[in-house]
Formats: sequence, structure tokens, C-alpha cells
Amino acid sequence: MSIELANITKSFGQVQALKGVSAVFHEERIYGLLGRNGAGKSTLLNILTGRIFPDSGTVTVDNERGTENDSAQSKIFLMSETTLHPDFMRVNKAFHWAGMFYPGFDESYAKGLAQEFGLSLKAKISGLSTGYRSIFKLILALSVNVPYVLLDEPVLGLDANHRELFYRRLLEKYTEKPFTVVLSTHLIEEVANLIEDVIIIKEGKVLRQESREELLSGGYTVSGGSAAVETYIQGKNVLGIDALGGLRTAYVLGVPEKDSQSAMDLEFGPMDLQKLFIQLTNS
Amino acid sequence: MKIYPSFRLQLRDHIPAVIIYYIVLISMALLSLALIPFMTPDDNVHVTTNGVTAVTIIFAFICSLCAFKDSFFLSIQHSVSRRTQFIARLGTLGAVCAVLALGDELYTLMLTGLGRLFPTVFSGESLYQMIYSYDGMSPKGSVFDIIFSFFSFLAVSSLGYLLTVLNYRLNKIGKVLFWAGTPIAVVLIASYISAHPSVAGIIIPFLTGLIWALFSSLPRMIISCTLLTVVFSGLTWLLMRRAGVK
Repeated sequence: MSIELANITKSFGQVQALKGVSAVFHEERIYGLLGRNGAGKSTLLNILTGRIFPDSGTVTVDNERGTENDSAQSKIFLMSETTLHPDFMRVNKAFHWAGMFYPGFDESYAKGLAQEFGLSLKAKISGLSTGYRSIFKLILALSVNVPYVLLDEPVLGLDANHRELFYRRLLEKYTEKPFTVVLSTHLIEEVANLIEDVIIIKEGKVLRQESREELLSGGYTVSGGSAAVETYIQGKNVLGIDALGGLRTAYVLGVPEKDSQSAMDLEFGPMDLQKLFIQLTNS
Repeated sequence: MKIYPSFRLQLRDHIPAVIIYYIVLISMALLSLALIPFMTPDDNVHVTTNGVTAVTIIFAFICSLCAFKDSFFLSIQHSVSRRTQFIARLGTLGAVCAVLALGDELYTLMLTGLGRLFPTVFSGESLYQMIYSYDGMSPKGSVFDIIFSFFSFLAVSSLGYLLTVLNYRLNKIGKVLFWAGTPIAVVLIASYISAHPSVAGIIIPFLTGLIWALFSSLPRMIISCTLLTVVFSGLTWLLMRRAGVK
């Protein structure tokens, strides 16, 4: 069971947003969909949920045609940056409609979450701040109980307390009954320990799709004096180097050679997801 | 398939507007009723609601012009396919037109009843009676009034919905060209026809004949409105099936 995207391309005028993207979202996994601004993450999620149509390529949901198929699409919920609910609608009415369209929607759980987050059920959606709009959509996403939940910039405008509460509730929900979560976010450090698989998109193409462990085990960091680091990285596959005064930290792909002569006085560490992402996606 | 929830969602767009519309109509009649004790025969006041359906036709058109975007977005948010939305829309169209046709008839009957009590003040005649059975040739009765109103609403509502979906699909330049270009084209064509009697001599009889052929009797009107509804709805589907979220 999975969502499969095959050779998806999409252009907006002269801009080619997606260039033959193929990716798979397996069941009961937490994915991090990472990419810089304009990389094509939101476009990909919008195509996956039928909000826009690809120029070419196919979307398959649990071996069924994904586009324009109620049965396939009812397994997916996308929380997007754009709010598609009418401005005049109140939060409790939005919950009512979610219940009409998603039989698994747990209204009492949603109301409980709203209370926890301090979201008034009688508030009009148009009157909500950016943060509370995100909270409103997150509550819907956590309460619909579908196999695939896609979250595009889920913590946009949320303060630290609300972000922590959201991550906690997401993990609780996932532990209780696993489902597929796709987190598209720029706050990589916050989700680094949450995600199991990573998909990195760069300029409309999938750069990497692998488990977080695999991705991070493929490299390491080496730090020390600039001369020692420069000597050590000679002939190695270096993603990038950070410099601070006379110190250097290099991001290197491969296995650390701690016993080599050039490794003396150097410190080795695991690859950091955010650093790796920055190095991989730097122009 | 999520047809039923989608149908209810789209119906929700119309219900408050329809209720307010009839509240306003009834309030106007009640206000007139309340003013009767203050009238003298010299005031020469007469309240008529002849052909209220003509007003309701405009109301149905405006309602359908406002019916697309909110429900489309909310349906997409709830993973409803465009096909399901379109089928639900046809159901909504039928339901709303039936309610409006029934509402108009009840209102006309109410005014006819008031006309019996206060013959010098109130009178009410349906649009169908005014168009088709004024000469006593066509059959009279509430059923015919309702049928006439229903099919009229069906055609104008589908046109309104087509226009709103078209407007949604057009880009900025397209919107300007369509909404400014259409009235300009109509004015230019009308001016050209009136300036050229030879052209007017061909076009005006043709249009008169066409209208006569399409609407000269209730059965013809039913067939014509059904065909128009099918054409407008077919075009709507062509525009809707690839509509994306903007």
C-alpha cells in the first residue's frame, strides 16, 4: 500500500516546477519532504491530491488511479498553506463538514484538540490569525483518520509551545494507530528526529529519496584547524565546508578514516540533516 | 462517491438566500396588508405581483453566479472529485429550481387569495398565465405554473453557473476580454443592425421566428429550456473537469 508518483511534470508558464518527479510514499511511515523555496514541494502535494493537474505523469494510490477518483482521494488529507474553507465559515461548522466527507473524522477528538490549543469553536475562519489558521487545519488533519496525511508547512505561524504540542499529539496519534505522514517544512531541525524517510527536491527534481538513517550514514562531519581539515579532505567527496575563524567543518560523503595519519587532531561527528540538506541544495 | 455530502454542501450555498428572498417578498405583501386601514379610496393604491417568476428568474441567475467557488474549494479540500461535484451540482440545480417554482406558486396563490379579500388592492397572476394563457387558449392551473417556472429557472441557473465557472477558468486578460468585450460586441452589432435596415430586415424576423419556434407554447418551452440546460451544463462540465485550485 502506497502513494506512487511516476514521471510527474508541471509547468506554470515559462517556469517548469516539476521535471519528471517519481517518488513513493509507503504506508505507516513519516516522511520529510524537504526542498528550498520554489523547489516544487507544494506543487507536488497539490498534484497528489488532485488540486491541480500534472502536465504528464501518473499518481497511484494503493494501486488505484489517484486523480479524479473519490475512493483513492478519500484516503488522503492535505493540510496546505492555502485555506480552502470559506471565510465566513465557523470552526465548528468546518468540523461538521469534515465529518460529512470523512466518515472516520473524530469530532470529539477535534474539539478536545481545539480546547488544548485554545481555538474557539465559534470563531470565524476569516477572523483567525495565521497561527490559529494553521492550528485549525492541523486539528482537521489529525482528526480525519485517513491512511495518508500530508502536511504542507504545518507549523506556519505557530509559537514554540503550540509547535511542541502539535509534534507531541502527532506522535501520540502515530503511535496509537500508524499512518503515513508527509511533512513538508523548512524547519528541518525540528522534525529531524520525527521523520523516518527523507525526500529532497531540488529545482523540480528528486535529489534524494531514502531513509533518514541511510542518508545520514552516508556521510560525516570532520572538524578541526583549517590546515588539518584541508589535508584530510584531499581526494574525498566533500559536500561543503563551514569556516569560523581558523576552524573548519567539512561535510564529507563516505566512511570516516579516523585511523589515517591526516585524521590526527580532527573531530569526527555524525552528519546533521539540516547541514546535509543545506550542502546538498546549495546552488 | 461523495455525491450526497457534496449535494448538501452545494445546497447550503442556496438555502439562506432562498429563505431571505421569500421573507422579503412576503414582508412586502404583509406591509401592504398592514397599510390597508390607512388607505382611502382616493389613494388609488394597487399592489400587484403579476409575474413574480420574472423576478425569481433574475434571483436564480444571480444565485447560480455565486454558487461555484466556495463549494468547489471546500469540496477539493475534502477530496471530492470534480465529476462528483458536477453530478451533485445537477441535483442541487434541480432541487433549488423545484423549491423556487413551488415558492413562486405559493406566493402567487397567497396574493390571489388576498386579491379575493381586497379586490381593489391586491392582484396576482403567474408569469405563465400572463404569457401563455391570457387568451384562454392554453390550460390554466398551478401545475402548469410550476412546470413553466421550473424549466425557466433550470435554464437560467445553468447559464449563471456556466458563466461563473467560465469566469473562474479565465485568466486576467481573458476576463477583461470576455466581460468587457461581450457588451461592447453586443452594442456594436446592435448599432450595425439599426444602421443597416437591409440587415435588420433579415435578422429581426429571424430572431422573432426563432423565439416563436422555441417558446410559443409550454411544451416547446419545456423542450427548449431542457436543451439549453443540457448545452450549458455540458459546457460547464468541459470547463470544470480540468479546473485547478487557484
